[in-house]
Amino acid sequence: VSSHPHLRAVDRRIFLRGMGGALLALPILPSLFRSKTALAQATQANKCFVHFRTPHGGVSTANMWPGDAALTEKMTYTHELRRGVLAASTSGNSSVISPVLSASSTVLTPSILAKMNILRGLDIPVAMAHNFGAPLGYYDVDHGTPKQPTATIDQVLAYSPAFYPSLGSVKRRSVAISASGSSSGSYGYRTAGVRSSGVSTGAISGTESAQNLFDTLLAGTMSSPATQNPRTPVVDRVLDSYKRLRDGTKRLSPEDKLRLDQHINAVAELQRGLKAPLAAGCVVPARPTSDSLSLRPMDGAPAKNIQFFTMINQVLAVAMNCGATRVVTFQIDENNQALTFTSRAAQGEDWHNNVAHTAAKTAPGQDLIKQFNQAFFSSVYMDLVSRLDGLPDGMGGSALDRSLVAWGQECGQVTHWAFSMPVITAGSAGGAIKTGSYCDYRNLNRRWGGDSSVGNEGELLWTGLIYNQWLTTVLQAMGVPASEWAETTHPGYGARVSFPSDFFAYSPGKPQTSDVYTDAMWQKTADVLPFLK
Amino acid sequence: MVTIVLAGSLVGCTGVISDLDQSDRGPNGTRSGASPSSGPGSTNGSFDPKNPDAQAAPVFACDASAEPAELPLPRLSRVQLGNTLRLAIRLALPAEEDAIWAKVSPQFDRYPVDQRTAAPGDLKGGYSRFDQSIQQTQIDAVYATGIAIAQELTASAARLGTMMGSCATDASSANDRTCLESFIGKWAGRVMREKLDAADITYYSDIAGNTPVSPAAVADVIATVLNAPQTLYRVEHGTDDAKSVSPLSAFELATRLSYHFWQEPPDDPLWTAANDGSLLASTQYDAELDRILTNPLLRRAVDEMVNEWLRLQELPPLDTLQTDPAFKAFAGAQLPTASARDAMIADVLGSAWSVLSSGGTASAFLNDRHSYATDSYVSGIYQVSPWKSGEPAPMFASPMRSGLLTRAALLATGTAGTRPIHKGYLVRNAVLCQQVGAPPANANTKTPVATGQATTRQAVADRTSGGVCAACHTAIINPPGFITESFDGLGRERTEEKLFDAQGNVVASLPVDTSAVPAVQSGDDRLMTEASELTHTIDTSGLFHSCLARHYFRFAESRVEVPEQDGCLLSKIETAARSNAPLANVLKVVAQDPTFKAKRFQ
Repeated sequence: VSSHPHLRAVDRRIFLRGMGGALLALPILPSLFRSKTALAQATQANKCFVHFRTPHGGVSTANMWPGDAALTEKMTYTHELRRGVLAASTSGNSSVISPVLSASSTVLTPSILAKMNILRGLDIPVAMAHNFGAPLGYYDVDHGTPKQPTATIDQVLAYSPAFYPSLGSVKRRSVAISASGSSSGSYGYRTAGVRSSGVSTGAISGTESAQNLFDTLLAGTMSSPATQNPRTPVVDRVLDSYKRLRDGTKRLSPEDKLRLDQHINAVAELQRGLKAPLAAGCVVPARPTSDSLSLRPMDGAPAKNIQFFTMINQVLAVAMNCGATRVVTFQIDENNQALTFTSRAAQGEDWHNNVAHTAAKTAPGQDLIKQFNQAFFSSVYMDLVSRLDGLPDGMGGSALDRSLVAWGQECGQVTHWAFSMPVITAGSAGGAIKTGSYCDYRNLNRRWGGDSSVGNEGELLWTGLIYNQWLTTVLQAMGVPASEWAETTHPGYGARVSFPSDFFAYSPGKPQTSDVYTDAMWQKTADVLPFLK
Repeated sequence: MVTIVLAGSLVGCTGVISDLDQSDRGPNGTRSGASPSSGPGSTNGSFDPKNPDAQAAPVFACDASAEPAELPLPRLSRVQLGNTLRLAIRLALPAEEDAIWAKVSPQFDRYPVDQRTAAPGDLKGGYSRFDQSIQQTQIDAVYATGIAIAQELTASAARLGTMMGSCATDASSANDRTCLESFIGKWAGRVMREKLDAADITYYSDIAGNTPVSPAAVADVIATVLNAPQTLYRVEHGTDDAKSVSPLSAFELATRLSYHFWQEPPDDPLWTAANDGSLLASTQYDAELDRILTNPLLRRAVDEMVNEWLRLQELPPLDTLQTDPAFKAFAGAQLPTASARDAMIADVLGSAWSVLSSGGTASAFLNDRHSYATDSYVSGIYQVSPWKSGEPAPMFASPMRSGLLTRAALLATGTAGTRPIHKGYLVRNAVLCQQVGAPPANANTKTPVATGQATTRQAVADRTSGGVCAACHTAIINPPGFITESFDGLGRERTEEKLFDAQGNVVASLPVDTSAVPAVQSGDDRLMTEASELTHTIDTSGLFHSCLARHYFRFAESRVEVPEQDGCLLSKIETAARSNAPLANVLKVVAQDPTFKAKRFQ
């Protein structure tokens, strides 16, 4: 049962019952796999990645993280790291990892807990401020264009031949959930999948419509009515019309042709998706009778906010289990979506100005931030985790086991700063990463005494490992080779950003930035994060 | 203890503000920084205190040898695409346009809204037309929409007959192919904005196969045409392959004109002028341009540009605090309605359109003191009667309300407080096109609110007067925002700021201080207390007109300017705007420029 005072008690059984059992899709039959190799290949071919991004961060140390006593193990890496077994206490009907990381005991079960990780001490070493794409690797400082635009990991995955060795039943390589007209936080290459074409500085478009998702991923309503109409599919005709122009004799500039190529690629992808059959054995439930969008307006209505996402989760869980897509990102933004999971409305930038920016200094602000994040965790994030764990994968595990469902935030514990960007995960990506850990990558010898203006929380900032290493860990867990993401400036994924050299001049010891985020640390960005392998 | 000053000094606001002229741009048109000694308008020459109403030097200069960039294969904006699809329906079944559009709207609604991206150096703003991305979701949505429209247009024999003529429904099959070809030649040509040649007509007719007028066959043709590159993009081949800058064909020119000014494909007269080639003659071109600029369809583009230029969508919802005791007490009898926000935005757009359509100038828009509020709420804010269509718009009741800067949409917050910083930045950046450095990452950007015995102004001053904040706020951002503190968070005129406790009790009523030195131009240290003074100074400086030129260029060209390359067109627009030519003539400058009538093949 959610501990959120305004939320109706929700448990996994209710979700499953609500779906009439129709969601128990069985796309993969165990008898198909007669060897370990085949099983491993099948696992690789069905890994899913889901990422939730929530706005502002700003969850205080006390509300976000388990107590330090939970960190019982130490290891020496570039600095001393700490780890503990992920554990939860029971409070009434809730399991409690921390005030924010608490949920119904029927959802946050010991079994699920063992499939999760909490990662602390991952930094983006730049004055990040507000951003949409940073949790996925597009370091859009202050909502601007990065100096080195980088395709986000979801888009690297979506067009990776290693991640998608076969597109047989894949309707969409990736799905972005985000408000219309605002950034989804996901950025791809200008020519989809072609790294050399450069990174588009326009975010890919998202949707928030559960019915749209159903139609796109499960219903096939966009297909030509092939059974009634043996005609050549229109999409083939459309594709040909572009090639006709592209390769015709009428004058076009090279840039015109490049854009035509981009469009041709997208039409070809549409064509492929339309023709992709649903996986054998995939049981598709009835189309949602109402749409998530119909819940609007819902600013200040937390129950509706949650229902909005659970309606989307309901479709996505089936779609991922059926292999209709394997990459999903959620861009949750209280301003653009007008929702806060609390009874206090977002009111445009009011939440940002008067809640997020007070959260490090005032109890009312922090309490609202806690409510937001706790409700999100218990009823949105855990809802999808629970749904996936309830779907058998036909190999003795669940859809969750072959997936990695991550929650990242716009900022760390103090809004604007990207120290200790929280990362919560569920699923092991088919055993690619170890789970059940609370990992603390902070360097307790490197406190950043930089910002007393935001209260005591500003004095609780330590530097840690580089966030790129987490993103690289995801790519490796998903089976994407280094050739698709390695950088020339460091072996891992993503832009090598940096604070000014004297950024830590007021920190103890007055180190240079290069002494804090050392080259040795950058040289380890291709390593799977400690404790996870 | 280390304070905010540290981070601010490293990464944040430098106190630098500048006009975006060529001198502070890098080779790629991005800002390369400005001298710390520069101030507002400083790059345009010195302010002369003996002649304070003299215009600042022009911002733009023309380098005749420069080669402007060409936007490759422009994608129709979402608005333009929607209008194009509606035209496709209207051409086929004019009586059923609205009904069919309503049916296919669920598919089109999935077409993503174009994203606005601020120009380099600006913290906010940008135009929908800047979004030239090509995305999977666009292709998916327009494909579904095209299929849906095609199915609707061919849903019955009656519709086929209306759309294609009796040849499509008669008993003879001998004329079927000819029937289809005729339809394609007329309908598809208009939708694709080009005169289809025989090969084109054969190509699209062949899609139908051997049953040329069967509903399924015609639907396939229609869906393909609606998704064709010539439909979704402005495909331009030019007319002279030997030239790097090739004159446009009459159809390409007509298409540029209609989408730029009307957001839709050419209408019948424009199509005719393209079809018979007369559009290429200067007299006919000018006549068409005048017709276009006096047609009410022009408002589509004007509304979009003004809305995005002045960032009207930043006006927050006004009715979200209706149950808050403090806000209720503050609003009193003028508790905002759900439609109040849209009405305030409509008031600004109404001003722009009224001024433009009546032959008014940029200055007239800035100084316009008429209310265009048609609702009782916003007209109540202005203390005038609602404006009735066909009648003269009423004048603002108060002389304090000086024009654009005091319209409710630029003042309201939806709270009991005001936002001097927001207002100040809007004036600096959107109205004057001056840039202010980004705040440091750790800036406390919580909206300062009046508390205890301090007004909002005092709260802002307290927040921003220390450390690195002062460099930008004290002299640059805050002053223009302070001058309009004689209006409250709903845009009502006031002389005192009432402060409320959480229960809605008045705890203080403090006089508002509107005095400030806005320094519209560097060196102008005149103290001002009224919005009318600020408006006058902005107007006479010419910087508003130059800013209009910059923004109109961006809107027209769907891209950010590169002054070294685009200075000639920018300078022409600026000159027209500063000469107080009618706004319609300012808009006309773009279409009269040689760059509009030709395509550069790079």
